[in-house]
Amino acid sequence: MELILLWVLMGLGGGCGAVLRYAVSGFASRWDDFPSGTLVVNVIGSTLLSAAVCVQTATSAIYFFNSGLLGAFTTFSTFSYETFRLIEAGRWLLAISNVLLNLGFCITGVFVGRWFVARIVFGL
Amino acid sequence: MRSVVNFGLDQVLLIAGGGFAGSVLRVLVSGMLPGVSGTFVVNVVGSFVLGFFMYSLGYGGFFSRNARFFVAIGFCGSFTTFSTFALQSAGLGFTGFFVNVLLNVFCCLLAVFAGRALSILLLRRDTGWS
Repeated sequence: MELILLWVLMGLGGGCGAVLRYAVSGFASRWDDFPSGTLVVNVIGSTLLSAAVCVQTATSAIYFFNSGLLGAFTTFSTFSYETFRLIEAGRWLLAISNVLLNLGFCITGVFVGRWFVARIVFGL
Repeated sequence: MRSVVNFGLDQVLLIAGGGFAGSVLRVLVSGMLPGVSGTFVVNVVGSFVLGFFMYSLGYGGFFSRNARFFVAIGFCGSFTTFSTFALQSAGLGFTGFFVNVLLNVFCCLLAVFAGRALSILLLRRDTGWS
């Protein structure tokens, strides 16, 4: 496929991912002062990306789904901004929990996604 | 659990437009750099821009409310990525994992702080605000 078309597809995927992130993270935005919305999208996105890269598929699908949609669905900037706001407010316990929970669940998600494709999809 | 969803068509289009630009730029920038450094650079730059933007919005109200949907939620959110960061970190081995994780988290927090500092600096210069 034309390279320019692939980049447009990726941009469209990114647009969809950003809107989906807003919808999903806004749905469970805060739990008391804990930024649960960003945690939820990061964990879902990391798990799905890890599963997606294990599946051989068309280049156009990789551009749209992996690089565009799933890349945009998760976010590091909001994660660091929210963590910074917690530190600024002196809520160290929440800030550290936010970092550890995002890292812990997202890395776990990577292994779960990989395991899911290998075991359930391919039956390895 | 508190929910905040403001779903007008305007907001959706602004977020989607920012997301389009952010994703394309992310892949362009991170593709020019080797290995995990590309993801590191976009995360730091995006955190700096978001920090600058949000604090400018909070302190001075320089930007319109709708700019938040395009710049903060759309662009910065899509330009930076946690999914690729997590996937790459998991593939680095023990030492590499900790180095990559600590560098990303620490430098992105520092970048938000730098963005906040810049917004304060500009506000002081332009308005005499202190």
